[in-house]
Parts: sequence; C-alpha cells; structure tokens
Amino acid sequence: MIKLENLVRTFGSSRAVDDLSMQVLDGSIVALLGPNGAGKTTTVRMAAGLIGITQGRAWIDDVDVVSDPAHARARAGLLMGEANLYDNMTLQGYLSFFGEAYGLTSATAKRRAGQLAEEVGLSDRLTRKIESFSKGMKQRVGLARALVNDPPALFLDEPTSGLDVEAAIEFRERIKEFRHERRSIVLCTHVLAEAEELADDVIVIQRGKIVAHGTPAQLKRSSAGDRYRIRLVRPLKKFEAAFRGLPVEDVRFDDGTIEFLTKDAAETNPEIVRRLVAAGADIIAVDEVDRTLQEAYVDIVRSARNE
Amino acid sequence: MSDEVRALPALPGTWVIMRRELRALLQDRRSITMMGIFGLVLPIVIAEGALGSRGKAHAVLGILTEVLVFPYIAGLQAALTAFVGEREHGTLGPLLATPLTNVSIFAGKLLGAAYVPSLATSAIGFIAFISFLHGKASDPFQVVAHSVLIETVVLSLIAGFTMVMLGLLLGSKSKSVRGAQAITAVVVFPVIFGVQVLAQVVLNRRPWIVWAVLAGLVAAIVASLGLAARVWNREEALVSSG
Repeated sequence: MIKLENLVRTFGSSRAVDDLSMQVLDGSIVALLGPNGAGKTTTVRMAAGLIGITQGRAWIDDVDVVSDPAHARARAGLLMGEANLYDNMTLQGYLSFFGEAYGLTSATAKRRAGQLAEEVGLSDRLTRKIESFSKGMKQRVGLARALVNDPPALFLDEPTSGLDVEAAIEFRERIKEFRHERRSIVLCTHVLAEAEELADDVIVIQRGKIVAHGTPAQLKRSSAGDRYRIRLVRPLKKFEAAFRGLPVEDVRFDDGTIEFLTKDAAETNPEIVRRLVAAGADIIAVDEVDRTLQEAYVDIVRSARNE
Repeated sequence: MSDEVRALPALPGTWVIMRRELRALLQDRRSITMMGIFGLVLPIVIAEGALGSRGKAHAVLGILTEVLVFPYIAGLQAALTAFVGEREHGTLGPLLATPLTNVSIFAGKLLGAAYVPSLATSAIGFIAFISFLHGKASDPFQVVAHSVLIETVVLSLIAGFTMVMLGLLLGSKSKSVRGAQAITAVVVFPVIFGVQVLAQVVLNRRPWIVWAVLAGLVAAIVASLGLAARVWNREEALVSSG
C-alpha cells in the first residue's frame, strides 16, 4: 500500500505540492492527472523516496519514506517518462545490473533478468544490445527494470508518452498483466483514455493540491449535473424559452439536437419535453449523454483555475 | 517483493556500480584507444625524448611525471561522461531510484570510470617507459635515486587524483559533457605544469616542500570528495535532469 499524508514540497518560495494526502490500496491503480507543473512528478518522486519531503509523511508497504528512504526505494519500482537506458548494454546485462543494485546476488539477478524479459515479451532479445531496440521495446525494458525488485509499489510517470498508438496499447496491456493483489500502482498520465482504461481511482491535481478524486465514473458525473441530449425530427431555431427558469446549465443547440446539464433530471426533463412539444417540436429521443473523462477533466481543471 | 531485495551497504553498492562502469569502459572502443595511447604509445614516444636528455635527471623526472599524470586527463573525461553525460542523457534517474546510497553511486562511478582505469593506464605507461629506457643512458633507475623516483610517482598519482576531483567539481556546473570538458581545461594544465615543478623540487631534495604539497593535495582530494558528494547528491542530480 502507498500512503501519503499531508505532503508538502517547496522549491524556494514556491509550493510544488501543497498538503496532499492519498492512499493507493494493494491491487489497485490510481491515476494522477493534472496539467504540466501541477505537482504530479514531484509527488511521485517524494512518494518513491527520491527527493526530500518538506512536510508530511509517506509510507510504502508500511516503510516510512521520510525516515528510511533507502528501504522505501527498495520497495518501489519507477518508470519516469522515457526509459533512459544504457544503450550499449545487452538486455540481460542491463536488467542483471539493476537487479544487483537492488541487492540480488549475481545469479539471482541473471535469473530475474531472463524471467522479466519473458514477461515483457523480449526473451528472444536477451543477449542483444539495447541500442538495436525500437522505442516501444525500450519502454518495455524500462518497465522490466521497474519490476526487477518485484516491488509492492509501482510508479509510472507518463509511461506511454512518445509511443505510437500500437506500442502504447501493447504497453497498457503489460501494465494490466503486472497488476496483482500485492501491488499498488500510481500512474501519472496526460492520456485520459489510459487513465479511464487502467485506473480504479483518479486524482486530479492542480497547483499541488487535489481538486478532484473519485472513480472515473464518479468524475464523469459533473458537479453541474448529468448531461442530456434531445433529438428532434427537424432542426428548430433556438429554443431558449423552453429552458427559461429551469435549473439547467450549458444549454447547446445544434442541428436537430439540444444538449443541457441538469442536477435534477426527474423534475426538469419532463418539463422541458412538455414545453418543447407545446412549441411544436417533434421529439425522437431524450438520451443521457456519457461524458468522457477528458470532458470531465477539462471541466475540473477549468473550474479549479477559476477558483 | 523478493526476500533477497535489500538496500545494499555503501561498499557492496560501490562495487556494483564500479563493475558496471569498468565493463562499459572496456566495451567502449574510444576509451580503449585512449588508454592505449596514454598507456603505451605516449610513454614510448616521450621516452624517445628522454633519450635525448642523455641522463639529465631533471629532464627524465619531468618527462616521467607526464607519463604518470596524462592518463588522468582521459580519466577526467570518462568521469565527466559518467556524471554529466548520464545527467544529460537522463540515465542517472533510474540509478537514483534504486536503494543505493549517494556515496555508492558517486564513489562507484568515480572509481570505475576514472580512478581505476587511470591508475591502470598510468601503471602500464610507467612500465612501458621504464622498460623502453632500461639499460640506456636515461634509465630512471640509473639517473635518479630510488627514493626520488618513489616520491615522484606518489606525487604524480595524487596530483592526478586531485585533477580528476577538481575537474569533476568544476565540470558539474555544466549541463553538457562538451561544456564540462571546456571548463575542466582550466584544471588540467596547471596540474600538469605544477607536478613537473614539484618533480624538480623532489630532485633538489627539499622534502618538507614535497610533503607539504602532498599533504595539501590529499587535503584537496578529501575536501573535494566531501563537496562532490554534496554537489552530486540524489536530489540535485534529479532536479538538474528535469
């Protein structure tokens, strides 16, 4: 389990992370979302014991990161953006070296290298130099490196950035494979579809603070209510009057459709339908519109910025 | 998590890093070529020059210091690549994420990339130099007292170590290997010149000056090591590499 409690990190006078608390249970994946400079990477670096914590506490698998960062790092796996490998080493040499850096004996590290190469689908390239690998393969080597110590906590910071679509899909499949009941995973990403596909929980960070937290489904439900779409037989000119005085927001008129947000569909929607019919509209359907996580995220970040 | 995973103490950690650096060095053709030039070609070419000195002790000693110290120029370049280069290419980050201590990473890189290969090259160069001049008029064992020879060797080695440390400290201010190499030129030439002057002092049997300088150089290394370990700490390296 990863537990962060009131984390603060300052760089000079600026607060990169500001009183951030979160918990990642064993077996779950939490996605950290936020604009550039929001504090995601700093949070991960603090949680993984790479940089100091100005204030607050953090634990990885019950090991206190503040008082024992080396043992905390021994329990963490980390992939920060591009894998950044030693290209002139063979895959086996590279993974064995990192195994030894985590305290494995030479023989165990070598065995583990072979096992990981197989798990990331690179067993046929074990004795090849990394410089001959494609970018997608290199990223998989980075994932294998992060797993060399079989960590109970895995931190992935934008692991698919720069990968082509196919390689990114394959990489996500690997992440799913490496998820298990004894491992907590933190995933920082700008790819909302990735967060939606992989994460059990999503945390949105803005200016070092958590501005939203919930399952992807919960976040998609806007604080302004659910979105509905009314489809009409014929395009009508704007119909503001049908919505006047009702608790709706963000009403959009398009060619033959009207979309709006409401918190109280049971009361509002029948009234809107009544008014539209009274005004001569032929209604085909009233549907609930599924918001994408991307739409939800944009709303959250914008409203946090305006606060 | 595997039961075998653990945070290694400083010494075994240093060994792990040092071995990797040495392996990387031995796989790098450019580094091997440099070692060949400094360890075999240069000493013999320089020994030719020593032959011309016709047994003049100060000339032989001056040339010998060059043979002993020059390999550290290559060592300094390797050390800069190991530190600044890794930071430049982002490969330091994964290493810093391991449970290895700052001292292990720093010392392992310094020993593996710079000191051990430089020391080995310097020793090979010394042997090549001595062998080439053996039995000739400029044979160092014939023209210089053994104690002077030993003092010169020790002095040169410590000067080489100091040069690497100071160069690394200055080079650390740069974000690219190229920039770091330019900065370190400031250190290389005074050290080479200085060690030649000191060899003459050794020859003129003024031991207190030599020991004072030796003590100063050792103090400089110790101070530099402390400073370097702070400059090259985990957080600094991570923040610098973005």
